[in-house]
Amino acid sequence: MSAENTSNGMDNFRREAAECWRAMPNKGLFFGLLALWIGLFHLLGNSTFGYKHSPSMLNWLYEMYANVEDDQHGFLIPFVVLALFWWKRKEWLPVPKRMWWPGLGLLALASLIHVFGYLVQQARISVVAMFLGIYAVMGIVWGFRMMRVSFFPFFLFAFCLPLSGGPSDAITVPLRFVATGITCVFSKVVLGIQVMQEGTRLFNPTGTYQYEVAAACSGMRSLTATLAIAVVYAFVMLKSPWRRALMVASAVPFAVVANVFRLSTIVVAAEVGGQSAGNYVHSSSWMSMVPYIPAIGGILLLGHLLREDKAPKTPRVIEGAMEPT
Amino acid sequence: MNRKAIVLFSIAAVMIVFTGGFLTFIRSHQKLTPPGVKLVQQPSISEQGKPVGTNSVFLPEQVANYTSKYIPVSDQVANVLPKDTTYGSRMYEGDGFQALLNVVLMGIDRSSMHRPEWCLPAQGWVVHKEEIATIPIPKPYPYSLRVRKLTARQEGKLPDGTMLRRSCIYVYWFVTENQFAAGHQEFMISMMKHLVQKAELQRWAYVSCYAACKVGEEEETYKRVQDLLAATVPEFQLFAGPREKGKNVASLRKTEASE
Repeated sequence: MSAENTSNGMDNFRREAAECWRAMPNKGLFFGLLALWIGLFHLLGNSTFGYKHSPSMLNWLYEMYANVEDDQHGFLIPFVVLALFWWKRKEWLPVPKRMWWPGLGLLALASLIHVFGYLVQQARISVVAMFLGIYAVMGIVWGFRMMRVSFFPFFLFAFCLPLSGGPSDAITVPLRFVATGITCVFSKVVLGIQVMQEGTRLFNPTGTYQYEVAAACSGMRSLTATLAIAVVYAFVMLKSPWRRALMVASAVPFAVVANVFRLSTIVVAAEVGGQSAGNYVHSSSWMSMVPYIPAIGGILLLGHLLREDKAPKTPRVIEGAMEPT
Repeated sequence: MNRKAIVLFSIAAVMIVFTGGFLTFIRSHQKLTPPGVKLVQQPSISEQGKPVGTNSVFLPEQVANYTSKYIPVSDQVANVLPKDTTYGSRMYEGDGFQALLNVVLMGIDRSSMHRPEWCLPAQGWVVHKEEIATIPIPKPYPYSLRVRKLTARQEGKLPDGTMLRRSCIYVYWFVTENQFAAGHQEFMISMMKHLVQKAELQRWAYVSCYAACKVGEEEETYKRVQDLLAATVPEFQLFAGPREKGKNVASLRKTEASE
């Protein structure tokens, strides 16, 4: 029965996908413009040839995602966006689609932004231009209403912007200090473990273990992942702007909690089993997933508290009450 | 495709093609400002003895009490950095003190200017302290050079089991025709502003001085680094900062020590 259900599911998916494809007008125009736009970024997207000897923005992005752990989620985002577009198809399919001239203005703006990014040799500015241009092409071909209804999930492409090595330093350095400080206090006050802090270094008074909360342990990855999950949850499950804003803002403290949890498990392991035990917990790939439990759990709990479809309370029945006349 | 679609496609396509053409033209006609360091018509040499580029940055062989030896460009650096990068590197020694003075000058590609916050950790150093400092420079007139000073530590076990602990002082700054910058962000913002205002690409040099020392000797080592830079910088740097009126080097050092 299960194989039959799977087969039926696949057939339904294929049928619906074919219907979506047929329902979209001006596909040739869209893909033609998209090919030209992406072609521009493939041939003249990157103007810095140190480290990545390629003029292609796509190649630059690939190298960043492949070589920098903090940016590896960039590979997943396009699939997440496509999946969310599919999930929201009943919202954007019925929207009337017409070609929209002002979309050319947005495309011109994206071109100017890319020219600026290329000249000042800041590839990240050009990345923003590339995605803005794709959004502009959607607007030119299918109109403003399509742009409005697809803003989410389209803006999740913001997570495709590599931050490491440049903008992320402004976040990573303070995050390291915050994570180290909270872990030290938490270990002393809650866990009763005497841990000392020197900058971003944690060590015990006897010197049997010490750890440096390096950039890789700053919590940048958990912040990015938690923020992405919070944003998706906010826009999928919540409607009102203040609930969505609160959910997105909560990603920062949840990510800090997740990282402090991870650092605390390393301290506990080191206290029990010495430096090597702490190193094992630090290096273990499955232990590194454990901190996401409080982060995701926190998002789900907050989502439950903020939910908008709360069932109305049933009225209290008072025994012996008189019926109204 | 209907007529409206053809018109829209044509306008958008012209816009995209024009953008590409404009970028190609600008890139091939990029104006570079003069550098802020002295160049000599002598190529740098790689570790394998091959010439790297056509010019190199001039660094004096001998200054004050220091002698020096030439340090070749590592193959890894030469392969990774843009081909129009110019190099200069010498190891200075004197009275038991040793420091590496390194200059990397960009061409039209700013990615020659790499970050020490990446190189040092890659070599096993952990940066403990990062601060802005000033170094008094006596010539051509007394001025204060703003630099970024990193204090880093390295710990590890040698093959025979003994623990190795050492510190290092890493001082760096960026200089161009008429400007200094004591950090990566500062020089990039300046480069962007100059490009937008004057359509010229500032040609920046990244100057660094690295000295390893025992743990606890960081301040003493930094004083030696200051002495070395006070002696060498006037020999290769073309731009001097604003004149400090009514001050000599001794008073500049007093000011720097009190800060």
